[in-house]
Amino acid sequence: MTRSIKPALRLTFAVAAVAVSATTLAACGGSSEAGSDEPLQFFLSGDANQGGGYAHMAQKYEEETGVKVEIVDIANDDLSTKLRNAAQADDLPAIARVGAVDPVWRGAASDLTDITEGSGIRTELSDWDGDKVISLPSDITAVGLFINKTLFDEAGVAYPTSEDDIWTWDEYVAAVKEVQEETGTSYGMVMDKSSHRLKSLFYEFGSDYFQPDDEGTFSSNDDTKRALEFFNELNDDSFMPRSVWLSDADGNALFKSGDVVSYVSGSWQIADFAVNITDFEWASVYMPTEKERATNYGNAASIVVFDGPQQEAAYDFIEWLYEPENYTELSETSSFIPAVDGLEIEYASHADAFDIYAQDIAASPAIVGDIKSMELQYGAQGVTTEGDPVRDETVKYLNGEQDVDATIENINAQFTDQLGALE
Amino acid sequence: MSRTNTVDGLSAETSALVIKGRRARRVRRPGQRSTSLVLAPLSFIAVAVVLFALFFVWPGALGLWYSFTDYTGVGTPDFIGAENYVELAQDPDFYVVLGRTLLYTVLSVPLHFVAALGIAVLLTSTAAKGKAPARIIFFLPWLISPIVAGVIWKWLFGENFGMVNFIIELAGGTGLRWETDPTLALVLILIVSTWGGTAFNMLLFIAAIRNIPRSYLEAAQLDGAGGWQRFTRIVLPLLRPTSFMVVLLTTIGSMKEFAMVQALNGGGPGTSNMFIVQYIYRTGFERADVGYASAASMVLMVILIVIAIIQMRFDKRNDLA
Amino acid sequence: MNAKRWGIGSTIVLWLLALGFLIPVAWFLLSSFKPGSELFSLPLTLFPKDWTVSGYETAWNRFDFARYFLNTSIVAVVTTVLTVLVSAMTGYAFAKYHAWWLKAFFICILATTMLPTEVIMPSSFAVVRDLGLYNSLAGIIVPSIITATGIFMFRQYFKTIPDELLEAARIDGVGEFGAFWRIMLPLARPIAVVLAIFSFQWRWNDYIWPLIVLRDPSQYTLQVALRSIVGADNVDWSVLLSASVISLIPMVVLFAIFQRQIMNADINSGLKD
Repeated sequence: MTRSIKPALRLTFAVAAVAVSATTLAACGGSSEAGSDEPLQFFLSGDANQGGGYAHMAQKYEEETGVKVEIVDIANDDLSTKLRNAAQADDLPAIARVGAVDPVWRGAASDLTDITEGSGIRTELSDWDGDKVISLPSDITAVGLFINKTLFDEAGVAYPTSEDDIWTWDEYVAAVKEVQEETGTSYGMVMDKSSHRLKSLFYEFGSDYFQPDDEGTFSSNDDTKRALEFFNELNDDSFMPRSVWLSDADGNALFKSGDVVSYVSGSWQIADFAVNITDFEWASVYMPTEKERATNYGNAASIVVFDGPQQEAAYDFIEWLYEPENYTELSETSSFIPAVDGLEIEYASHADAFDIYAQDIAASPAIVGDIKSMELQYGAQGVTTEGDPVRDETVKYLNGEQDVDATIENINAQFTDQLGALE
Repeated sequence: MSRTNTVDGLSAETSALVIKGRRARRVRRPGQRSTSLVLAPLSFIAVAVVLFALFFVWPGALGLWYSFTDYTGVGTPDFIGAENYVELAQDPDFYVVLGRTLLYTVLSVPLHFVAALGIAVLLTSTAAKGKAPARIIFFLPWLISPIVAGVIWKWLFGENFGMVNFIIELAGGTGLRWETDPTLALVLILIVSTWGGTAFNMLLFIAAIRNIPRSYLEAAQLDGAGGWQRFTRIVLPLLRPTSFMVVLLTTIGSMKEFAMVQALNGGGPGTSNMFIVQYIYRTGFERADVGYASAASMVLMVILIVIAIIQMRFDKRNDLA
Repeated sequence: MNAKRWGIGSTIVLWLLALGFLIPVAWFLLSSFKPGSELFSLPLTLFPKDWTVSGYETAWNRFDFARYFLNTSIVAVVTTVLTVLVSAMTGYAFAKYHAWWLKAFFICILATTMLPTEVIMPSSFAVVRDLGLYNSLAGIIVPSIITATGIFMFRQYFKTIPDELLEAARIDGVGEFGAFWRIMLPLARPIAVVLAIFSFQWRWNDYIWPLIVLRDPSQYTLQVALRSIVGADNVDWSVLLSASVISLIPMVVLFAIFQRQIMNADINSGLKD
């Protein structure tokens, strides 16, 4: 009996040994820490989709200085997780372009104040740590209105082409409904399922959004209620398709199909539409007004430089990037709205669309900037939320699960619960 | 080379039976279990135990600890006792979501089972033609990631611009509200999950069916048993271990359904088709309330353990092996 | 006569079902050959009006598929071999031995499927980091070896193998380990192949572990790279579709080759009747 155990046991041990050595070999495949000669790793998301501006500038920088910057394009949903894990493993990259500053690695963000001095960088969109600037706005995006110009022309309906002519929401809805009827289009308007777009509707109705009092209890004004009720009326499945806000249907795809007259989205679509809409003509138009003319604008992302062995080299690269000449080139390649004042950007196409955005932004009331600052300040306090209570509660309201007062109450309750008082 | 022990001049076969009987009696004596019968299984499961401890017990224990704190994912957690559990028990949404998830599971398990078994039988029968390419076709959906699957089915069943409604309207009907009607949305979820999940169960059934000795079936056929009888009296009972596994795994999988529903309709319309894992995300992780999310996950795990134990009881009573 | 009708009937049913399963896949495949502007235009068409491989070109140039295939393959192969072995051993122990602690451990193993992975993610990362496996392929391989499904599969399969076989082996003096390696495991070849296919596919499509563990982009696996196509506010659908098709091909090829192993294993479980 012992004779037959041995070969079998030996086989078992052999397998175990192979397994161990295989895993150790694989373990050796891990790379070493980023030394100062290694390329600077720049974590971001979606650069390739947006014209590859950063990749282009990295190349230019390498040609000029010989320093290599490696663009690491990560899925948007995964970027914050990746950075957080990297921070906890003491392995942060040199630079990152993030949606929001994460309290987990906030402390590792370098001081960029010197870059901002004397420049036109819009520091009200930066993250601050006391007096220190710890992030630079990467570019600005704003909510805007797109129309299917072919349909408007076919129906013979006019739309505002200058700032003296801005339409009210009622006028806009009436115009679109007329186009719908004349051309037999299925839907009049579609809006991305996001509180980011809805905010512009709020601001236009004069809402002061959701703000805390000194104790941290959130509340809103009556215009918010009016805006929500208006939005609910629009979502009647003949003007706006209910499937977008209720079930994640792709508003972008719907507009591109040519069977929706107008689309409330934002400036980043311009580059995409330029390539991917060939069946009809589209145009950017001024956002409608009610009490106010407004659009929700803000920094699309923030550039952060991390402390570490590569900090100096990374700092130099970012300083170079924000020089007017270079930043202009970046904005032109990726069709960004600049976060730096006083620059002349020559867009490759659809410059008129960008003009409209610039005008809408300039005409927006102070509340837009105030809310943005409030959000940045909460970030500085180390409070972050990934969820979107405004969107989620609005969806429930649109679906008939609750009434408008309950919706506003819930939103306020959630904000109070998660954010608390501003310090 | 094995030596056949013979007993007292008896034949080899009889000797074997005698020896077997002796051994059996020896083993049955309490406390006399041979060490190899303990050492062997222990060494077989050793690696699994270590990995289990490292990658399940350790993070699981951390999760359990978090469920008793107000951890937000950042900073240090503070102990708050059973507050998360109390809050969970008092949240009406939790029960609604749980009910919806159970409804979905109760519907999907028989659907997946029948689909997978039916297709497996077809693919292993001698009668049908063209099995090899068919097998690959059934396998393909399983390979497609949930994001892409969600997009494909949204295009096919989109309420406004989907292919299916397009065809229905061409034929003169009105398009169905696949996205804004809660029941139709659930039906769509069932269709998509069956489409994607069948290959997995199908392969398990195929392997098990091929394991049935052909001689059994041939003998039954000679005895005059028809195709259906052979199926219900021989194949099905012999498939019981695999059936039990398919039912249990599908139950657990359906209760945990998340990624596909997210990609398909975000749990919509509104929140009418929100399942429990999405609830955990929405109320826990998205609100930076890791403690609450952990508590809800623990509750989910307990529910699943209970379901598993119940199903194991059923299996034991019917165990043929 | 009866057999022929069965034949035609079952063939028809089989192919109707296959068609139902195929249409969405066909849509997916055909859409990958459409230019971005055609994807959404009405009226919807199954076939592209304007066949193009531009999506494929962009996908191929943007992603270093060769490297990602290599990384993912290493992980998939090593993990699969280890997974099959560990699952076989553990499932065998559950099936053929009886002890209360075995039953308890079986329930523990089942319990691993009951916590959604996303939930244990933060804690799992802490474990990986503390074990020193961060940023190495081993960090993805080792945690993925244990799978309740695989263990369950082998348990059920071994349960269908009659105990008499094991008894006979014991009588023959082969010993417990010998019985496993020389007799039982070879018998379990079909289920081993099935698990290997499953395991390969799971690792191929896995993104949670690589997301948590890998830091260096040169080590990225396929899914991690593909997910980056989904940007913040825009998704380049034609690239996503093309890249997804490319990433499917190896799995389909593998399955086409190995499905024979499952189908042709005509075991009669070693019993002489």
